[in-house]
Amino acid sequence: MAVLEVKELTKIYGRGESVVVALDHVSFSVERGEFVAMIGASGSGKSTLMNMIGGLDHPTSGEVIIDGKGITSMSEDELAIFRRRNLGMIYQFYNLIPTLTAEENIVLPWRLDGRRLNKNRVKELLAVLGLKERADHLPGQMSGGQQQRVSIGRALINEPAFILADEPTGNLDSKTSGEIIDLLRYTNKRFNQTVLLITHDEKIALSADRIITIGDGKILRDEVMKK
Amino acid sequence: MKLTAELALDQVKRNKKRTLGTVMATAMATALLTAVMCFVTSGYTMLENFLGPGLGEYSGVYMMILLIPALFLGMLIICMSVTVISNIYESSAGKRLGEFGVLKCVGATRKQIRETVIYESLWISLSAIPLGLLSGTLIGFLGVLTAGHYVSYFNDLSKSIIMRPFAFSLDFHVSVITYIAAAIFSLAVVLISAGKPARKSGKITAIQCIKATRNDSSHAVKVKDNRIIENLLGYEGNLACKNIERNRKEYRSSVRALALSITLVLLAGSFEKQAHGAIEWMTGMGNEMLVDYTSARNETINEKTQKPQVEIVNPISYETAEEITARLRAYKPEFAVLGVGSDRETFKTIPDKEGMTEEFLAIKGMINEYGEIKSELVTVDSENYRLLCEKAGVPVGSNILINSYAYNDNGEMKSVNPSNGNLSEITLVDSADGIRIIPIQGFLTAEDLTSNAFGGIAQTPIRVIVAAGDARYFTWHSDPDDDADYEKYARGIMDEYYPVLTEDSYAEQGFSVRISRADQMIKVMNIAIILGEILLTGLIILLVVMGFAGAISTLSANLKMRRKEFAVLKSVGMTRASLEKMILSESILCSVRASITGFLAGTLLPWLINHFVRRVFPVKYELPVMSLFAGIFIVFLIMFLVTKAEIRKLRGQNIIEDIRMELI
Repeated sequence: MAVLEVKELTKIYGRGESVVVALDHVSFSVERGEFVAMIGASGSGKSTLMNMIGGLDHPTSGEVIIDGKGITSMSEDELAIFRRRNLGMIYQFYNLIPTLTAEENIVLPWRLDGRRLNKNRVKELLAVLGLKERADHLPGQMSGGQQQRVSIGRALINEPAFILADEPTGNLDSKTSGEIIDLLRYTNKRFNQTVLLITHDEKIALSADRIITIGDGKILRDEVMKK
Repeated sequence: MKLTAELALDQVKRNKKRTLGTVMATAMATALLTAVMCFVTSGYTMLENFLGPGLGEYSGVYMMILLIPALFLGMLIICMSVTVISNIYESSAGKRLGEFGVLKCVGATRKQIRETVIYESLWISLSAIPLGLLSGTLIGFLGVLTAGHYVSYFNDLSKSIIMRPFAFSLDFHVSVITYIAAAIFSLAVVLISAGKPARKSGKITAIQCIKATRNDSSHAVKVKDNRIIENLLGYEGNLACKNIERNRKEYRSSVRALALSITLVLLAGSFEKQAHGAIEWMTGMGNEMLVDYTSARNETINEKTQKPQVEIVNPISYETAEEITARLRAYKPEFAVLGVGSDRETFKTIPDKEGMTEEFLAIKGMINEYGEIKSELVTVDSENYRLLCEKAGVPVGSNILINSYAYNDNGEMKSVNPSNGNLSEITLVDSADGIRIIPIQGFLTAEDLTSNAFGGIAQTPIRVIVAAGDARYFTWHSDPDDDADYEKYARGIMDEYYPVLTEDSYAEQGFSVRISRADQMIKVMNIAIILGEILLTGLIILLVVMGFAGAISTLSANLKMRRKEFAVLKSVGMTRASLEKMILSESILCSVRASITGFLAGTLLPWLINHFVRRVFPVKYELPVMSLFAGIFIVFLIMFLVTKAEIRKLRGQNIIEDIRMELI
């Protein structure tokens, strides 16, 4: 069963002569447990696509269905609740809350949902992320790699339908980038977590099960990697 | 022009809204300082006109009286101004992070970065300080005009209650020095205010600037989830609590400005309560018409005993007092006059442990360094003396001890009985150690002496009503229907016995005669209080407005800087309602913190001041509950309204654009 279905998604910015088609009737689907990489040059439309899938932006037309629910018609608050329950988002610049510790950042979506703290789950996650010793540290006291691990933890805490990672290694050195991708790969295998990774780095994309290439707002290629 | 100065000027021109805010705040600080300076200059001129050039012999004391309040007010203004203006420059520096990054990358030094912030403050001062000097002159003029009006009224009233005439005249005066001093102080305020953000900006590294990441001031303080806050404000309240605890620096100036505002409101409330307490106490002294004779006195040291000696220059004899009493009674048929004289200068009493109560003798300061108690021989007109003798159950010609002593015990009026009833005589001693033993044949208590003539603000511990004797003071109490007519009548009689021939009869003729209602004193006191209240309230309002402006600007800047943080929270699933609840919770928690600090400071400061007040007046410190509630309510209301307005601005927030803002 498809976790994510994107149907004829179109996003047009501007009007008249200055019209820009960022996404042009894009359609694809992602199955549960898949590790999909989306690559494309700068300005190809991949971030726009991510924002549509993440419910951060509304498409001009088309539909995004996550776990069988169409999100395009949802209100802002419905989307926020949907995001914290069904999506895990990872950004290039980590986007952690500077006044919350690593552990507090990780449990943020959980607490926002009014759920009780499952300490065992948090402990397990911190161990998987290699952040046991850093649980009480603020983002400002951690390296970029560690911050990105916290960001991954925050994305994983609610066991979402899938993780959306937008250039998660864009701000990291190659060694740390490798570690982060390995971590995503590991969570994909261990928790059967669906991952949609957006990158412009082909080498990183090669670690995925499937690569979707996007250019000029259209899907140029969609290939399953043989491992 | 230096590049850094040029960049600063460009900044000033481009950010018109912020520039306007900074100009207003700086001008307001300058205006307040100028107004205080105007008061000092006008006050000095008033004293110089009265005391002569250089303020005469006690110039140091007068200068202290003038400069200490000015210094206190000046410090208050400077503190508030630095808090407010510093916030504005800090937020300005925060917004220029990208510019600093470019400058650092192309080789700007730490000093040059600092300079751009300092130059910004100097450009702003160029217009703000002259504007402040002008508006400060206007505020000062209006203030001095108001005060001058009350001083004139004070002069008129004081003529009837003060023995030596004087005429103060408070006119508006400024000098070049007033402006130079105000400008220097204001510039210092601006430089101190801009200095801290300037140093902070200089310390930011090039990489921080390029990445546009702020110098993260968050501290990994252990903040446990607070159940009370969670129950009251939900998880959002706990998030707000953590934000505040771990990011204290960002909130400190807002909290400080709000706390200072509450402190000032409480200070004004306490001042008003204590002043009115003093007036109320004095109002209890009655409001009879008083015709009063007071002899001048000479203070010397007795050569033989080295004790202080007081010579009554023109004592009023009992016979003269009796004659005047009779003539005053003749004003109208059945017109009641009570004449009471007093000599508290000549004798002291030797304590008598057998006849005096322990409680009385134990009062702090009761027995002086020579082992004596202050004493007063009271004479009463013969008709009333006879009635008192009857009341005391003793024959006319007896000495009657007033067996009640009311005193101010550290802010509380207490009353004790000097005698335990066994006192049959008292030993009076004069400054030459001359002894005079007088028998005590009867006692009267405060309940027996209902007339205000036996009350008094500062009572003498031992008071003995004697049959006759010379007095330094003699006061005739009455209650005529037509004050002006009686005043004229009484003046005519007194002029026959004690004609007032000079402006300063007390000094030049050795006595003074005053005719007025007893409440004139309260009116003078009232004027001083009203004047103090007007000036203090005016200043406090301006300072509180400034404090609120500072808190609003910081809060607003803080929320603007955190747009990305809010966008991230939304992206991980925080609803708009939750976000608004978190921001409101921060405001509530800041207000609570400011209220607690303001309450403590606003209670402690007037409580300490009251320690000095209650030495003079029986007025204890009382918490001005209304002011407290008003101050806290205003703080909460303003914080709520500002936060709501800022939240409204956030409603149009574009999560994607804000997340791309690389400020977190």
